Amino acid sequence: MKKLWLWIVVLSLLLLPAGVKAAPKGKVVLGMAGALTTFDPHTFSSLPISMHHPNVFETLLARAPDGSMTNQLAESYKMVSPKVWEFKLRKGVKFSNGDPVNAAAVKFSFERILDPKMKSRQYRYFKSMAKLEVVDEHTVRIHTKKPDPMLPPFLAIYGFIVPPDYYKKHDKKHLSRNPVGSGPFVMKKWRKGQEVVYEANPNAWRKPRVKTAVVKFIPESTTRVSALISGDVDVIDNLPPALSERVRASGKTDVIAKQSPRTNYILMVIKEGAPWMDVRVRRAMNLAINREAITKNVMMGFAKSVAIIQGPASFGFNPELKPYPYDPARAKKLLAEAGFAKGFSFDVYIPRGRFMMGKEALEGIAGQWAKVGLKANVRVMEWGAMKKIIFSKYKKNVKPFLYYLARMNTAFSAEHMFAGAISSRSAYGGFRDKAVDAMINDARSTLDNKAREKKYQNIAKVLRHEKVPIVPLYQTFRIFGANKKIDWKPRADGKLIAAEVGLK
Amino acid sequence: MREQALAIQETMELEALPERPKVWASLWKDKSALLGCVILLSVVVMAVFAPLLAPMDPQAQLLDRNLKPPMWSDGQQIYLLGTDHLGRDFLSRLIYGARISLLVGFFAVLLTGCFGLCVGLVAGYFGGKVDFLLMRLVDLVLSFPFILLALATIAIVGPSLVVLILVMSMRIWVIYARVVRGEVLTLREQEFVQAARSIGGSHFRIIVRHILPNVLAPVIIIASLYLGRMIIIEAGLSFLGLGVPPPTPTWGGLLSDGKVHLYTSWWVVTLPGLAITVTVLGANLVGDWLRNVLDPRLKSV
Repeated sequence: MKKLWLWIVVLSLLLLPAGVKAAPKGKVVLGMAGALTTFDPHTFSSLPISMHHPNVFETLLARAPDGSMTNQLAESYKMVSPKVWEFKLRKGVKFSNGDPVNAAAVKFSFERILDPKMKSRQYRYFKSMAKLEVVDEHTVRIHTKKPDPMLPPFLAIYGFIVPPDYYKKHDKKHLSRNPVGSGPFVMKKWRKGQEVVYEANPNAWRKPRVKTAVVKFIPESTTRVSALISGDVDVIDNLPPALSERVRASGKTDVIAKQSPRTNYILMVIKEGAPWMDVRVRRAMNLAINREAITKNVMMGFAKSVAIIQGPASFGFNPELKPYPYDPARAKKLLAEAGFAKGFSFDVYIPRGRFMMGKEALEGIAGQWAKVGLKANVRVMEWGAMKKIIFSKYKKNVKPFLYYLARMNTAFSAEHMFAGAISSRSAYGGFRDKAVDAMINDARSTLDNKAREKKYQNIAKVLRHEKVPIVPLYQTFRIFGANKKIDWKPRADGKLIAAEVGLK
Repeated sequence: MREQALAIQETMELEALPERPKVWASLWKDKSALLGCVILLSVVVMAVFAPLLAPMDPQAQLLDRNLKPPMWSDGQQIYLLGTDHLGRDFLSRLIYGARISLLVGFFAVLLTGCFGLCVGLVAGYFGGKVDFLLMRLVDLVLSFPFILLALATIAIVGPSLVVLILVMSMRIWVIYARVVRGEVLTLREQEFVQAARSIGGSHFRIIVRHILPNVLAPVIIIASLYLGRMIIIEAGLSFLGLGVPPPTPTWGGLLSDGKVHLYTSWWVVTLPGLAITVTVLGANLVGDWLRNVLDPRLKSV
């Protein structure tokens, strides 16, 4: 008899966590660096937005915390013909206002993004779409203008599904402040630039881990760290490496770091008159940098060197390629062969405060270059002013220069990175090579995943060994600070999504 | 007749200035002024002879020895004040940093002094519409938040030493202009000016020979007091990343680079902070003393 009681107690204890999951309890407070500008899910694209909107809205597909593709509102999907993708929707899902999530909502949502009047910044991800077709209540087809194997990764970031009736009825201004979606949370209160309060969405099929989540916007990093240590907030993002020791030392808080797909690199304006027109010079510039010393001492271990432009989490990553080794002697020799035995001087630009420890790292790199005779004048610029300089790079009277940038590979694809830094048409790149362009185009139009991956790996190899189009540096880690009571694992894409943060 | 009058005038003016031995005696008597002089002189010596005094190249980095505390030794050499985040010798950087601070401070003071003086002289001497226009310009400049102006200008033009000096000068000249104008207003009604005018002295001659020597004292006092303030402003702008671009070491820049390491490496912020404080203190002490000696009436400046 006694034993039976014991069993009942044990069983009920085991069942308890499940009960908690069904009706979320508790509250977490997050302190985040980047502020949110709008709750309209279809207008802009930025990291703060892609960290907030998934709390309230859902996409057809999604990224699991480990970076793999999963389904969200879609139950399954397939390519029925090269130009048609078909999505079967999850049944019985409702928006927070009670409207059903159906094919018509999907069609409406994408048409809203594609509408030229919206001037959506997400348009570029979906511009290959020709039309959307409602097959039945839970089946929708996306017709593309040409075969687009790159569509699913973007469907996992943007393209949030909204209820058509509500979004047709209200004007843009109202919608930017009063979101309705099917996500785990509803937005309860938003004081612009200060805080957002999320409450569990009673209609949600995916429950959040707590009942209430508050996100406070704290742009200044030392303030953010102080708020974490004093217990005002439970989790913070963008923890500067130099402050990590302080978070660790407090005893109540931990540092959580994970390599993010944000590659930092130095681009070169490769044009007539630049010493680095010669590939030997470009190779020398790479060999003169001690990446290990930078990642270890300046980035304090919160960065990992990359061979060319992608990290291990991205599609098309080539594991055989190694980062350029540190070999100043060979760098000097290559420079001498190219006719620059005495070195040369040049400007290298970096935007102020945009990249983690960017200025410090670049100063370190400039110091390493100086040892082989390359005199780099580090110019710290406001991002707006620097963009103007970058966009003027090919003008005749503009002296060739270098510039430090980073690119977040949110789509986890080689394509996304090549488009941003390697392709001739890239607004931010400085490398133009017809043969490489042709290889990229060829890979992009390859429909078979395995074959496409091979092609991307091959491009990376050609770039690393033959073309040397950039000075690849490293992928920085996303560094968070969290109270020890918090139960949360960092995501491969570096996002901090309130609905995924729980209490131990 | 005219020459004679002028000669008498000049001797009168010269007599008004304190005699030289008296100046030195008062410096010796005023111990805080003496301290200020010593501080300022040593900073100047530090700046001028930086290449001789600095134990190492302030740019030479070694990432493996970054953020080492003061008195740290790598076996061959002792780093008296430790190293910064890129492993550069901190003492050398501090010594070289004095150059920018003093250079900017000195030239900004010189530039603002000259410009403010000219504007004040013209406005005060001619009066009327010229005075009205120039003083409204002064009001306009005064009503503009300085840091905002500096931020905007440097963001557009890009940071450099010259830009920094110009931006800092944009605001401070109005102080001189106001004080000088006030002085000139009373001076121009004085007999010796009237006399010079009555014998046909040109405006230029009257301003330069008769009025200017009499307003130099307040200008020198303001200049000495503002030297310290200029150094602070320079450090502030460098701290915001608007100063002289890296890798040139500046005290404000060292502070800015060090602020993220505040919790783990105290010296990277404490030492440049101390350098700024001590130098500004020195400049202010000297300024106070100059004011007492040259023109005790200006105690409120």
